[in-house]
Amino acid sequence: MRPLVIRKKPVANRKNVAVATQLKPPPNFRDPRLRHNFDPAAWPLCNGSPGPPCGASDLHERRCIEFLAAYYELNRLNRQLLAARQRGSTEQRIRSLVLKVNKAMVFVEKLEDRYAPVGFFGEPMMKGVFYRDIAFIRPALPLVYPALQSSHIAIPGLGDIPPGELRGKVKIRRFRHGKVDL
Amino acid sequence: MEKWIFENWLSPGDIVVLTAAIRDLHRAYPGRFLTDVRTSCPALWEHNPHLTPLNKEARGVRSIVCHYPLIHQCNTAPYHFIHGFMEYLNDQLGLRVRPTEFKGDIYLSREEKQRPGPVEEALGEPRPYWIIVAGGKYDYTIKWWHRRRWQAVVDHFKGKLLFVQVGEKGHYHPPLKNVLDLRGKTTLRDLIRLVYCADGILCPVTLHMHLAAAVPLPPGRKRLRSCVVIAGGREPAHWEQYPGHQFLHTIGALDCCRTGGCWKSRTVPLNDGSKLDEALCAEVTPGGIPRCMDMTTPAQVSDLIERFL
Repeated sequence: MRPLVIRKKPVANRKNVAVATQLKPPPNFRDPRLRHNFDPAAWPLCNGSPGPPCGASDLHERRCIEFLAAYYELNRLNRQLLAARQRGSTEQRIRSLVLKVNKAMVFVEKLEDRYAPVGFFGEPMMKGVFYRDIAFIRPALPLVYPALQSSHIAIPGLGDIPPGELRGKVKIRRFRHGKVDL
Repeated sequence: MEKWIFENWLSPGDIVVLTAAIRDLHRAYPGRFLTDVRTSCPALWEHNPHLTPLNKEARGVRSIVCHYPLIHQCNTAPYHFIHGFMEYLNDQLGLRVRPTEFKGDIYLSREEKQRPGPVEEALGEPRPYWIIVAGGKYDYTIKWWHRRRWQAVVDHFKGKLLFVQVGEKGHYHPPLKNVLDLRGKTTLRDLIRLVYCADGILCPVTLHMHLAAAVPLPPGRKRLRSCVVIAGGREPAHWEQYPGHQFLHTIGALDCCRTGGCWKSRTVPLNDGSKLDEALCAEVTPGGIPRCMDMTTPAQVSDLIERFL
């Protein structure tokens, strides 16, 4: 609930508009799957599935791809780092890769921040240091007028239905104050 | 006796506040009214002794949709939300109901009180815990704090305090690590039982804040149930804050809430066709949250919780 009369007419100020326009992948975003050196093993799953196709037009799917791409980059770098350590690469090379991983993690955090105002978020599931699956929650459209859900709307005769005539797992609840509800 | 059905179809937090009005109506006029309700979230009325089943069509039964127009003066007038429904009923029905307690009126059955709480059921042993609500509905997104900030508070208490994360399925409740995750797993009655057994609640301005006050305390607990509310500058503290609660607000600290709550709805537009998109936050930080919410830090919140442990 909020007061019906707002003192100032609400307007989308410049900062809001700027943020709102950022709530989709930027124009310069490139799907890494289109690169010639794409490494499919580093591409995480999307809600347990291979994920939206390249060039998806649905905004939710495009956002998912943007997150998947960020985690793909982390996987790719983590794999390089792991390999460099196993090979016994120089400290300089390892430090350089660690810095790149850090940068990629900061990028993921900024991505989260960008979408935080609309509640879009991908929860990574890991295996070791690798991001194997990202669980996205598709925001439901808000119910501006909350759904009515009341046991107090009279259902004539509900309490008189013989239990044998109810189909499925139906439990009739009788509240102490006399209300009856399914 | 006057027979009244009180209606309200707003969010559960509003219904919790309405329970206080029904309680105080009966206390002000004992024996004068038979009351029933038609509201959203009927689970909030279970075991309420002030309700009598009434048929809306029966002779002598009247009904009234309960509003709280006092909200339009909340930034300037010295009233709490608790007064809202009471003042409306006073105006409409010519009454003089006054608040007798600074909280809503939620009841648990003896069985609900005696059963092991949901946390004990989940863990197999009783443990002290706080409830954490790290999100909310998509209608008023301006109330959201950042996921990483909630997580920072949880991390601060790692090994010292158990947090139980709750939230309705379909709402925005990003998962936290190192918590007992009961998101989408509690009915409203489960939530009431969860609150009943909780030492404290950490939340934005939401239902849980009202429940923290309205749900009775378990036997033996002498202190009020703790509640730390991350409120920002949307709503005036005196309108929302309950006794013993820590209400972290920025009223007077920013231009957008310089003399009272801004009462805006969303941080940015969701483009869902809702009019709420027209009431936007005046200043969004690069971190994606309103400036007022950004001003409350995890360290401040952790310090406050420490006081209660």
